[in-house]
Amino acid sequence: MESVLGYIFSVEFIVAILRMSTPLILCSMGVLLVRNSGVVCIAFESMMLAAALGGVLGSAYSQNLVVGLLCGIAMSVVFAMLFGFFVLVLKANNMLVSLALNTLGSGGTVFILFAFTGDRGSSTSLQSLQFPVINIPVIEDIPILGSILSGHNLLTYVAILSVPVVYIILMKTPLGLRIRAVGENENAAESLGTSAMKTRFIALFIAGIFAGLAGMYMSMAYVVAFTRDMIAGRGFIAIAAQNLGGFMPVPTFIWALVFGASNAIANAFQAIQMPPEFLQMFPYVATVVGLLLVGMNINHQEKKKTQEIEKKSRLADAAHGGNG
Amino acid sequence: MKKKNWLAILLTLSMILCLAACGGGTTQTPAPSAAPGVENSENVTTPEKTYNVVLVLANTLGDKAFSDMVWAGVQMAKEQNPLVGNIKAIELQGDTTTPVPTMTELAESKEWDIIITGTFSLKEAIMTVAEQFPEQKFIIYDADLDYSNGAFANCASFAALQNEGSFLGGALAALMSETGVIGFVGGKETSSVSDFLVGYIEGAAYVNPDITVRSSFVGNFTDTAKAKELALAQHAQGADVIYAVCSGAGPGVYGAAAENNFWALGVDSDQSLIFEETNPAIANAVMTSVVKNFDVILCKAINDVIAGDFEWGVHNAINLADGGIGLAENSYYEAAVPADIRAQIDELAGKIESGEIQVSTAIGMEADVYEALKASVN
Repeated sequence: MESVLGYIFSVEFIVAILRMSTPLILCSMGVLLVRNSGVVCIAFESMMLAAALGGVLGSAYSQNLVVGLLCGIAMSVVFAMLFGFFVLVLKANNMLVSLALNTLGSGGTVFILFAFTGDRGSSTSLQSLQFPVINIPVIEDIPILGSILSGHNLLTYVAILSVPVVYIILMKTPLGLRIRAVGENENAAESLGTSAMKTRFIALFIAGIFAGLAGMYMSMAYVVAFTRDMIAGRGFIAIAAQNLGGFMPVPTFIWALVFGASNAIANAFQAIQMPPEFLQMFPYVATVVGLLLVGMNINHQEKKKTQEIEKKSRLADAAHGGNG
Repeated sequence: MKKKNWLAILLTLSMILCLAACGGGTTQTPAPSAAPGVENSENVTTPEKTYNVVLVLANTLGDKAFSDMVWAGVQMAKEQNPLVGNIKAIELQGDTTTPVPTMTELAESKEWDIIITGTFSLKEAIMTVAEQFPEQKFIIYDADLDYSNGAFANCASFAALQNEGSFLGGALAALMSETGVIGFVGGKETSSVSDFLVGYIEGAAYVNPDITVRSSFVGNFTDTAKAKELALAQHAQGADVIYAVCSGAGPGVYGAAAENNFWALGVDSDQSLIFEETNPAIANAVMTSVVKNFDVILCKAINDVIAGDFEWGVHNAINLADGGIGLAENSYYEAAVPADIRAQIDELAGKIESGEIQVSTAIGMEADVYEALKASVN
């Protein structure tokens, strides 16, 4: 028990939380953009998986990290664009398309892996590259703080930077305004000359890049190989983090950290004979509890607003046949 | 209607890819020269009977561990013996609803002389189908059947005693550990994974009664990142040798070991060799692997069946003495482990072979006995 507590109050534990949160932060920023544009997409699992494979194949065959990065992003963007094409252009049901894409991702990556390497389980026969670990000069020499701030993978820094970047995109740029406008009220935005479809495609495109980085973190930073189904639900946890964080980057970031931390705690306690089945449900219990709290809060706020909004929404529903 | 068509096409496409990627079998048709006279009925030379062998796997190929090894054994038999006809691998992908129908279909087709299948998870399915088709021959690996009263005369089973191999792994880990803390990262806490753990704990405690063994379970066999985190959490709590019994997720543990300068122990097949060319740092971090030599066992079994000197209706427990399980004694092992420790391990192996050391097994062990054993070293 002392060993676990010693570990939990150590610097390594904070580093472990950051490590486990990185893919969640990156992916949830993508989810956030798409969600703000008024589209519900749960195909992020497949985007991450596709990027994880694309990055490994690209970097292994070119022996160039930038090529690997571009291949990975291209793969996840293809999935994001497929989603956009089916949902926005062909008006198919977003949940069903997401489901189909996740299935396609799981099977398709194994298919592509097999076509390239002849292996169906993992890419260990390929010599793929890894994103570098960044040691920040000067800061790395500061005791404690140095080991918290320095020595992380490049993508971990990218993940943390992505939070202000997404905040600026959403809040300070014309594009962000369009994304939020389209999400808030598609028809109002269209009436002012903003193409909802174009805006949503752009949001999906950027989300594809974020999901791609998250996926490549799994296969090119965390572990240096692609393994089938290696995302293991992280795409969904990222969606949960966005849902809990509402429509804003910072709360979403905090929830991603909470999920990372609950995973880290579960892992730490497993080593001292806490039943693994109990600990493995930790992140999911955190999701349910979080959703409950957020849901209660939303209910409370909505009750306040109800009176004024009710009238408006009734009018809007009548005019547009209850869209969405 | 148009959008529904598109959706249908997308769904179908993803289904087809799924099937193509994982579902299909790998068939190798015999080379024309392999079996002269079989194809051509007018040929006067006496047609020799060829044996078609199908392998039914509970999971999928490509794990670089157990499933691949079993398939390698079948392929080895095919290369060695011209009388082996078609060989095929069917992957059930962990789906618990398909084993019985799949095996029933194979038995009904009468196309396959031998069905090779195994692991504990398929035991009940094998029993159901083997009882129904007494003419169909089954060779079963890593599980045993109850042959009393002449039951299952069409079957023969092989099990490698993973607890004995893990005993040596545990002893080695304890001897190599400088902190007195060693780790174990399992896939799921199934009876066979637990069997590894039981042997590991007993082996470690045999050479160092004060040893601490930390054990964690990933919850599946694919989440490499989780396996890595569990290994790192154990390492942060003192473990400096970690045994990875989690199949496809194993590379996560090896990666953690390579990056943080502790030792990893692999399992099933020689894990160092997999990374020898692509990632030498990982190959060096894997001290050795507890290997089950099912490729050799199954290849020999197939050859024996064809030669006609194979005994049906029996269970064969392949222990250390039979060479069915043991540590991979490769160059990495020799480089990592000092000669005196290697000598101690050889001595322990001798004691297990002679029966002087009896290793417990998790299979059939009471849950509280198992938990008490885990608690005794924590």
